[in-house]
Amino acid sequence: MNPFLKWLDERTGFVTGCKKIASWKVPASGCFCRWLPVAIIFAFVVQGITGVFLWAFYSPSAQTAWESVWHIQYQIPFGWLVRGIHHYSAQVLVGMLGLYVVALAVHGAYRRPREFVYWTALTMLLFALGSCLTGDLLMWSLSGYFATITRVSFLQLLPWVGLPLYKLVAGGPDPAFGTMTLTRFTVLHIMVCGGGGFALMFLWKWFDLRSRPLSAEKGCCHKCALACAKTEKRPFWGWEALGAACVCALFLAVVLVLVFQHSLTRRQIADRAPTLPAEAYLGAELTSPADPGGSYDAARPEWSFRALYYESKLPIFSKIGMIYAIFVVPPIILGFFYLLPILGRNKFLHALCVLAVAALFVVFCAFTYLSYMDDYKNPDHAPAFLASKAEAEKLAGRAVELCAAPDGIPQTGALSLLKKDPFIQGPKLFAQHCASCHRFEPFGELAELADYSPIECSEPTAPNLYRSVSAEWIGGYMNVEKLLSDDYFGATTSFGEKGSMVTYMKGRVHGGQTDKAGNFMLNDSNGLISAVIAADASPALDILTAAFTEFVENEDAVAALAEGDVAALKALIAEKCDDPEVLAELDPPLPAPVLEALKEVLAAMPDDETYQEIFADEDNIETLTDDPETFLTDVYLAQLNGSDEPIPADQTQYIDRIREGIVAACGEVAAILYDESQLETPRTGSGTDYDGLAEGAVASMEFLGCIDCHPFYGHEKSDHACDLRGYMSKEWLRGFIADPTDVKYYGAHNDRMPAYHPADGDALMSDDEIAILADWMHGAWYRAPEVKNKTLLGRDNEIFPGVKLQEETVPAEAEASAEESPEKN
Amino acid sequence: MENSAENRPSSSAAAEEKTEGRRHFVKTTLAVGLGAACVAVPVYGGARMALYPLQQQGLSGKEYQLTTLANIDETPRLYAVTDTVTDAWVSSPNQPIGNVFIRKTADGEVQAFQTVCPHAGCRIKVDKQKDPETGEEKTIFFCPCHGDAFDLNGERLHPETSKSARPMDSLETRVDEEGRVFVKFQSFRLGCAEKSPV
Repeated sequence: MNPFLKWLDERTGFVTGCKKIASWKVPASGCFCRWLPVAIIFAFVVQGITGVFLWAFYSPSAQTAWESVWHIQYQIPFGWLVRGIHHYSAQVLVGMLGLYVVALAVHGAYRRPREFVYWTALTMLLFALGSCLTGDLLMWSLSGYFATITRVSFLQLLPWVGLPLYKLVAGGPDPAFGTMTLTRFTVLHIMVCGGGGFALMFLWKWFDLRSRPLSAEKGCCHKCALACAKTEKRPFWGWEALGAACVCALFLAVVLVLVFQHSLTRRQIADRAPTLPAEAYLGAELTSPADPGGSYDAARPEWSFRALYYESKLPIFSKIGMIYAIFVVPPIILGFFYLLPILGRNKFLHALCVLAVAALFVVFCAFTYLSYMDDYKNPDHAPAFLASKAEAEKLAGRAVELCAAPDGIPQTGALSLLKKDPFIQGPKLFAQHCASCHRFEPFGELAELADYSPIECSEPTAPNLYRSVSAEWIGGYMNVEKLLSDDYFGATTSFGEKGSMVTYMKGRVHGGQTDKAGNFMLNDSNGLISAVIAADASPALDILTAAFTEFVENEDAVAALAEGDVAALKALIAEKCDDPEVLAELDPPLPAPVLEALKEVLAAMPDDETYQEIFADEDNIETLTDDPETFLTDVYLAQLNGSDEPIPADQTQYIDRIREGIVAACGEVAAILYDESQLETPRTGSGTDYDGLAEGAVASMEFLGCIDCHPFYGHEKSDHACDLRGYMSKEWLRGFIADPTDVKYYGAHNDRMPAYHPADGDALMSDDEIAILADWMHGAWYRAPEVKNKTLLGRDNEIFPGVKLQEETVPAEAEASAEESPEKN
Repeated sequence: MENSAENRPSSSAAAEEKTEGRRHFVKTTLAVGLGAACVAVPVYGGARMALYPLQQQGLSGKEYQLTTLANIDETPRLYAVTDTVTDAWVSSPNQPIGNVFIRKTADGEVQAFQTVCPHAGCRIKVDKQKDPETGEEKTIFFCPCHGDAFDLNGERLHPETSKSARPMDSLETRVDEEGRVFVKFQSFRLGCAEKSPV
């Protein structure tokens, strides 16, 4: 022997040990069960390796636990893989340990001299289960948090020791679940359950090896290597070792399939949400951060506790007491398993024990199955469970989006991001405070947006606020029918049929729109069409006066017109329509679309013969020169249609043209108000000069009469109605929700809208909540960009540093079109 | 395979043993290889996790506006450099990431120095020192840990006895038209004569 090795061996025995291992012989058994211990040991090793690496990144406190797991899952290279292997190999380990214990029992391998092998295996199973229970909380996620609270609260069922025990486990009195719970669960998980499990594994193997020669001696020869050893042996190195390696590979393959279970098919990869990275679908699930103020109705234990969960819900226990379900029945069953080596002393008793174990195994499987069926298939429970799961998934996705946002996670933790996120909190606040009166669902031209879900309202008595900060919704104010519908103010008391806004709109703006014949409009002295063309001092007559007075000075042109050449006059009228001096004098001032319409109407009407007739008469020209106003009323209008109206009743196309102009002006006002809604703060300025206020905006609003009641950048004639500066903008909404009875908003005309944060009085919502609600109504929340390079292996497909796999995803459209094409054919 | 071996006419027992030995070797190698591969999966993933810090980029080398020309003179002033710091998963704005001395020389040149001593990473301070010969008191840079002294240009006052192998680390500066002073903040490798950014 090499002198160094000799030196080493004398002191450590390493070389002799290695030689012993090299010539190690194992019982020559053909039983398949002999591989189970190999896989169990390998699973423990995998748990240890992955656990240590995870430990190096984990931070147990209420503000960092979830965040560090998120960091592991989404930012650390291969963190998702290590975490996934740790999680799923633990599940498989529990399953294997369970099967191993059952196999020992069925084979009678708990009998002399292998009692301690059996007992340590059973205890190992308990430690593994304990690891699952404690590990669940460490993520500090919504699911683990609420599941653990339930579990730990069961301790309170115990008499005398219950409450102290609960406080000890939770780390304090209620509300106890927090950093202290996490630190002690970390110790329980890593040192007590993990380390204890490891120690037990060595003890178990020690007992096993020690019992082998004894078993042979006692002659309890069993075909299965689990049970005992045969005298016949074969070398380990060779087929046995290869078999063991294959078992480890098989175990790893099963675990990897579980890790990749949501990324195994192309469809699964293509179906991923575009804003979530691939890690969201790899390895173990991470629900959103634990929220003591929230709830999670779909919190369920791991599969291994499903049977116990189902058992605890059996009706009998609600009668005799929950304590029996948790602290009596399971310990009895456990006690039975521990007592097996004593109970199954002879063949008959062993047969009875096997029957009992088989029955318990069947019950375990049945309860597990029924528990899943209850959640996923039971028509009474499944919808709520699945909805809760979907909601949690949405929340988890949102948490991931927000954490990956440029601002990152603040020191207060990821939960604080969710708490101030309008996308998550907006619908909740709306449902809580607004949805008792306001509907929130698409209507009319307002199509549903993908990330803007409708909210139910059982008795709507106020406007439907779905996408209320949109050009379409604000444009609805220009339509009486819409205003009177239940989507706007149909169901309110201060608006409604007799509300001043509706009366006003009916009378002036839309008076004619409901009457297709147009007569109503002409006869309505308040109507805007009359205001433009029919009133004594209408803009139409003002323009014509200006044109006629100038025209009559040109004798040649008048003579030519008498001969039938109308062109010069019409050109002059068109010119006056654009003359700023003339336009400045108009009352009411005309918005551009109405002026455009009026220009067309004046160019087309009356026909050339009528003009020729008028201007052929020298008396008429004299009247025009002396007194233009008399000419217009007595000559022009009388000649036109024998009445004092500028447009003959049968010339409806002209009226329609003016109406089109007015409708277009309504659209302009809607656009102006929409612009206001998009302001962060109202415009600054004074007088008529306000920063960015569109030219003519005030003219349109004055023409339509909006500012007769509504204040608008100092142009108000009264403050009878709400201020339109910054209407529906975030700031306006915040102030309005805080106190709609403020004179700036509805004042004394407020219907039933509560003041949510009045200057004096009780606040129903905090300022922050109101701000979140306003942001949400604006659709102003962080929108994550699409994540590129989402592939089977997470970020960038990088397996080794610098080595990338080919893109494996199939673009969603390509797949969709491939599926559609057969149908088209 | 074993069956076929048995069926073969036994020409020589030694050859048989040799084949058997080779087979055993192959099986054992396969077993060890496969077992090692299985263990390698979690170990590789874990090692990639553990080596993550090597992939991360620091803040070094970014330019910060720290003061204006009007605010500085020949006496060095201490300025704190703040930035958004990402500490693992926590992102915090306005966190101190280091300190810089800034001064203006008599010629109007703007100088900026790292406060970290190039010797062992202690924080250098501005100090007064009496000249042993003239008794005149003058302002110097002084590192309290190992007693290194630097003049206001960052040069070592006693290069032959100085613990630091190089002068104080100067930082690149830039002054824009409005007189704002920008400093390119960097850290440098400690303990060596060469000034190399880390």
